[in-house]
Amino acid sequence: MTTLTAPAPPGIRRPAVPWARLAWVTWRQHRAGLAGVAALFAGLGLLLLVNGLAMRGSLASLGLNACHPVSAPRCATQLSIFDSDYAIWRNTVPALLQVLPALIGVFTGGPLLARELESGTFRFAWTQGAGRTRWVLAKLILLAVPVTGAAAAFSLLFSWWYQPFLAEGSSLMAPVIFDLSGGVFAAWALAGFAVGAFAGIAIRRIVPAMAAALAGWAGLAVTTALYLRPAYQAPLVARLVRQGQYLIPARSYVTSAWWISPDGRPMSSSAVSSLIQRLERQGLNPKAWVIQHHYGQGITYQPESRFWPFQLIEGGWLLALALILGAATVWLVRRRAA
Amino acid sequence: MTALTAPAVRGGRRPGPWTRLAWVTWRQHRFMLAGVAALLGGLSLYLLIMGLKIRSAYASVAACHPATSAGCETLASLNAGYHSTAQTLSGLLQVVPVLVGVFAGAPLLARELETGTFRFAWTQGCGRLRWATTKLTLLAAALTAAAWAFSVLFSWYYHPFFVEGLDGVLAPQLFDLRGVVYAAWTLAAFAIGTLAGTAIRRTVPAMAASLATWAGLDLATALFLRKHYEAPLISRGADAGLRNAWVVSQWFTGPDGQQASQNTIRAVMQQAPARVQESRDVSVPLAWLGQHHYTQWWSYQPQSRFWHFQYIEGGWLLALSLVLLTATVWLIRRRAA
Repeated sequence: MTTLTAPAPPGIRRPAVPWARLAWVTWRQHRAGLAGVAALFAGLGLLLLVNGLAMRGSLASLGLNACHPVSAPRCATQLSIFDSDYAIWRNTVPALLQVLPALIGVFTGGPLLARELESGTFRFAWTQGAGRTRWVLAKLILLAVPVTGAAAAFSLLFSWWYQPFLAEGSSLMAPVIFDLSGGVFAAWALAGFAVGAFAGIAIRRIVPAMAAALAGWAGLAVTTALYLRPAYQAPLVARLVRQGQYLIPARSYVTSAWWISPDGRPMSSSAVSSLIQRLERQGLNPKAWVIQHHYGQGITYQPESRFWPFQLIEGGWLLALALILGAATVWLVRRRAA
Repeated sequence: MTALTAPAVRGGRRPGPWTRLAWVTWRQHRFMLAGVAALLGGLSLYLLIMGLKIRSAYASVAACHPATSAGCETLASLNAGYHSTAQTLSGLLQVVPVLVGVFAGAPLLARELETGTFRFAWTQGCGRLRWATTKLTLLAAALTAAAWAFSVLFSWYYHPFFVEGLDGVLAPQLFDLRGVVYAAWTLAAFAIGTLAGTAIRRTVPAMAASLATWAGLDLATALFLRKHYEAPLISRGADAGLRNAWVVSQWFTGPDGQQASQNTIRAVMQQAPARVQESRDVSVPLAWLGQHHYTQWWSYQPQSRFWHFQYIEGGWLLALSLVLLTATVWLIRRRAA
C-alpha cells in the first residue's frame, strides 16, 4: 500500500473502507489476546459445567428434586448435606468471577492503543492505505464484538450453573449474582474494554494505562453496587407482621433491616441507638414503649420481579458509556499529533 | 557514569556503588512505589476509620445493661451490618498481593528487555548482577514490609469480630490476610512476576502469566494444600473444639461402623416419624439418627493451630520466593539479550 501524495481529483469516489484487510490486520495483531480471552472463558466455563453437572447429580441422589420448596423442613437434613458440599462454591465462585470484566479491560483494552503509542509503531500503522480513523474504528469494533459475545455466552452458562442455589432461596438481586446474570455481564465486559482502550490513548504508556483502567473499572463497579443500583427504583419497605416473619416475595434481596418510625420511614442506626439510650435514661422499658408508640421493625428489599427492569437500566447506561468512551477514543486518536 | 573500557586493576577496584544503585532503583520505580503506597494508604485510612467506629459500637453494646433487654439486643443487631461489610472487604483485599505482583513485579524486568533499554542499563559502572540483585532486594523488601504493616492493621480492624466469635481465624479468606502470610503472598507474587518478566521478555504476556500463576497457586493452597499442614482432628458428634474451627469434612457412619453414603442416610430418614423429619431444628434428626446408631463425624482444624499454619505457609512461600528470585538473577546473567 502506498501513501497518497496528492489530494484525489474531484469526482473520484473515496475508496471504501477496506474492512477485510483491516480485519486481517486486527486478527494478526491481537490473535494472542483473543486466544487468551477465549481460553479464560473456556476454562472457567468448563469448570462451571463440570461442577453444575455434579451438583445436579447430587441433588438427584439426595432426593432434593422431589422437595418443593427445597427449604421445606422435611428436607432439612438432605439440604444440609448438599450445603456442606457445595456452599463453598456458592459463596466463592460468584465473588471470584466479578473480576472478569476488569481482566478484559486491563489486558485487552489497555495495551490496545498504548502499545502502539509507547513503542512508536503507530507511525507505521497510521500511514498505511487506511487512515487512523478507520484503523482505530476497525480495531475497536472487531475486538469489542467477540469479547462481548464470549461474555454473553459465559453469563448464560453461569445462570444455568447457579440454578440450584436459586431454588434454595438465594436471590438474583444480590449484587454479585446480578452482575453475572442476564445481559449485564456482557455490558460490563464491553464497558471494561472501552475504559481500557480510552485509558490507553489518554495515557499512552502501557503499564500506567492498565493500572488506570483497573482503577477506573473498580471505581465504577463499587459505585454502581453501593449507590447506583439501589437507586434505580427505591426499595420496598416491609414491616414485621408476626415475630420473625416478613411477608415478602420469595427470593427478594434484603438491602437493610431498620426500625421504622410511626410515619413509615426507616430510621438510621444512630437515631435508633439514641432513642433507646434516651428511653433507658428515663427508666422506660424500650420494648413496650416502641410497640405502644407504633414503631416497628422492618426491612427494605428489592423483589425479584425487578430483575429485568434493573438489567435493562444498567445494561443501557453501560452501553451508552461504552459508546461515549469509544467515540472519545476515536476523537483522541484523530487529534493526537503523536 | 561512564562505561568501563578496560578491566579494573586488581586491588584497586571500588566497592559496589550500592547507594547509587539504590538511587537508580528509586528514580526508575518511584511512580510504582507511589501507586502501591496510595493504594495501601487509602485502604489503611478506611480500615482505621471503620475500625474505630466498630470498636465504639461494640463497646456501647458491652456497656449496655441489662444485656438481654430489647434495647441492648437492638444495639447488638445493628452491628451485623459492620460484620457483613467486613466480610466483603476481606474478600476484596485478597487481590492486593496479586496486583502488586502483576503491576510491580512483571514490568520490572520485562520493560527493560522489551524496549531494549537493558543494553544501556547493563553497561554502566556496575554489571547486571549487582543491578538486578539490588533492584530485586530493595523493591521486594519495601513491598513485603508494606504488605506486612497492612496486614497488622487488618488484624486490628477485624479483632472485635473474632472476640465475638463471629468468624474462625482459620477461615480461608481471613487466614490469607493476617499474620505473616499476607506479606509472604505479596513477596511470592513479586517473585513470580519478576521471573515471568525475565523469562517471557514481553510486558503484557508476563503480566498475564504471573496473574494466572499466582491465582492458580493461591486457589490450590486455599482449597487443597492448607488443610493438610497438620493431620486434622477427628470428632464424633459436636464438641467444644469445633467452635469456629475449620471443618475439613463431615460424614456419617452406620451401625456396622462403615461410612454411610448420602443415599443410605436419606433412605433411613424416610423411615423417621413425621415430627423428626419436619423439625426445623437440625439437632432433632441428628439425635434420632444417633439413637439408630448413625453417628456424625467431623474432621476439622482447631483455631489453636493458627500460628502454626501461618509459619508453615509463610515458610514455604518465603522459600519459593527466594528460589524464584534466584532463578531470575540467574536468567539475567545467562541471557545474551
